[in-house]
Amino acid sequence: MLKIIGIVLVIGSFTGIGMSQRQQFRGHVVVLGDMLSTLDFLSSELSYHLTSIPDIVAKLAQDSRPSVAKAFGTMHELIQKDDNLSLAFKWMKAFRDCGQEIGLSADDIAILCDLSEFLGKYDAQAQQKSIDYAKVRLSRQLELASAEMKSKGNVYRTCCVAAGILLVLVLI
Amino acid sequence: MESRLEQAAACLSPSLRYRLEQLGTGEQQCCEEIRLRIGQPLQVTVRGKEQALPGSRLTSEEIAMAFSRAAEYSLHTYAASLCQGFLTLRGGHRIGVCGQTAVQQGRVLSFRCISSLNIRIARQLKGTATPELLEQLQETDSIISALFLSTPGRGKTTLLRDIARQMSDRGVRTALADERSELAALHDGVPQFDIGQHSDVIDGCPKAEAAMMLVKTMSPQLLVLDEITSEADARAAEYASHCGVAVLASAHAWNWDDFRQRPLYRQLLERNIFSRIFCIQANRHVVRIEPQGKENTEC
Repeated sequence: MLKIIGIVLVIGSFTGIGMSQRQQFRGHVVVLGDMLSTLDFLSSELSYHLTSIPDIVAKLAQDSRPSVAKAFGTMHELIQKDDNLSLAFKWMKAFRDCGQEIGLSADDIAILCDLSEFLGKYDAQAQQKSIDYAKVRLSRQLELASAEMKSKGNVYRTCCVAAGILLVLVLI
Repeated sequence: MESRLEQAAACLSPSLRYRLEQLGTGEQQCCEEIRLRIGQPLQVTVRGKEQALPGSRLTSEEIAMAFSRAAEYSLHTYAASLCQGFLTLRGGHRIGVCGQTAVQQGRVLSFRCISSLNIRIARQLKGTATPELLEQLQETDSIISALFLSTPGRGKTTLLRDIARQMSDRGVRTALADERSELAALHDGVPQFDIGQHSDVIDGCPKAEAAMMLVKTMSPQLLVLDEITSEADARAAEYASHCGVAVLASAHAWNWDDFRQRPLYRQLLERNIFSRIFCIQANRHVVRIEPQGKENTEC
């Protein structure tokens, strides 16, 4: 009986490790999708309502998706601070501070930070173009992340299950 | 700091606001403008006189930062008003902008560099429209269309706002075409000034378009237009008047003679929209002008 419990526990925990590794790849895909839809929202607010950037950030800080709420909530807090720092600096700081925490890679963060050079500084059309360019770059990142999830995600899961079974066989 | 001054100075950096805090309470309450010019100390206008505040001379970075904060880091939001050289802050305070412009096909696109800013502090003075003046704007049960003439800074907007507030509180359905966000100064849809219980506002929209929308959709009894400056504004006033809506408007002019000499206003007179014309004098007294141009009753 103890052997059976041990086998289940060993295989179960190795499978869990594999699944969590796969989940990380999946999380990256999800957060990139969230950021792309956030850029869509930003683009719409700019073109249709000419909403100010702090107001858009305030709306996104209330978003139901945790990754969006976290990044833009941090940015909202920075904007609310009464200091001499520019919006571009605060935008970049927010993504650099919590980008990795929400599951973005260094390349994704760099793409989002590049946007700060344009936001709020030009007319809506010019900003729209920079957002479109960021969307193209993020979409490419999303494709890569999806491919990575499919290939490496499955490899991690299979390898971990196999490693569990192998360990059980060795121990028996 | 006095609350209106504090609200107007919110776009300034903490160090510049500290300089304003050094003003005496009386001066803070009477402060009309805050002026920022590159290479000059921070200046304020109190009771019509400019005075420099102690402290270092302003740098272009300080002015650029104040401008950026005033525009909420979002030039696209204020592009239309910036093309006319101003932007309006929360609370209805107006910032005049000077500097090097970028012009394309004869139209101002943006400001490349900012050289000076003038923050005009908007204050609501309740009771500027006296009962005598309000009486002159009413005839039996109806409101009379009236035009107020004055040079800048004599309180045209303040007076129009107060008339609108008092009329509105008397139950008159009042509509305000607030192109420059000065009459009601909506923020998140909430008027920052008391404009009465029966008032509707369209904010930030060209006056002529706003007037048309208000007349067609809100069935007002009184339409308020601050500063008639174009043919379109005059046409909108005429349209409202033909729809049976009383129009209260203001126009820039030194006096009656100056008013009559301007082509746009001559046309306005020929349209017979306004039954009463008033002139706001330097001492802010409102004087009614008779058809012959003779100044008559003081209101």
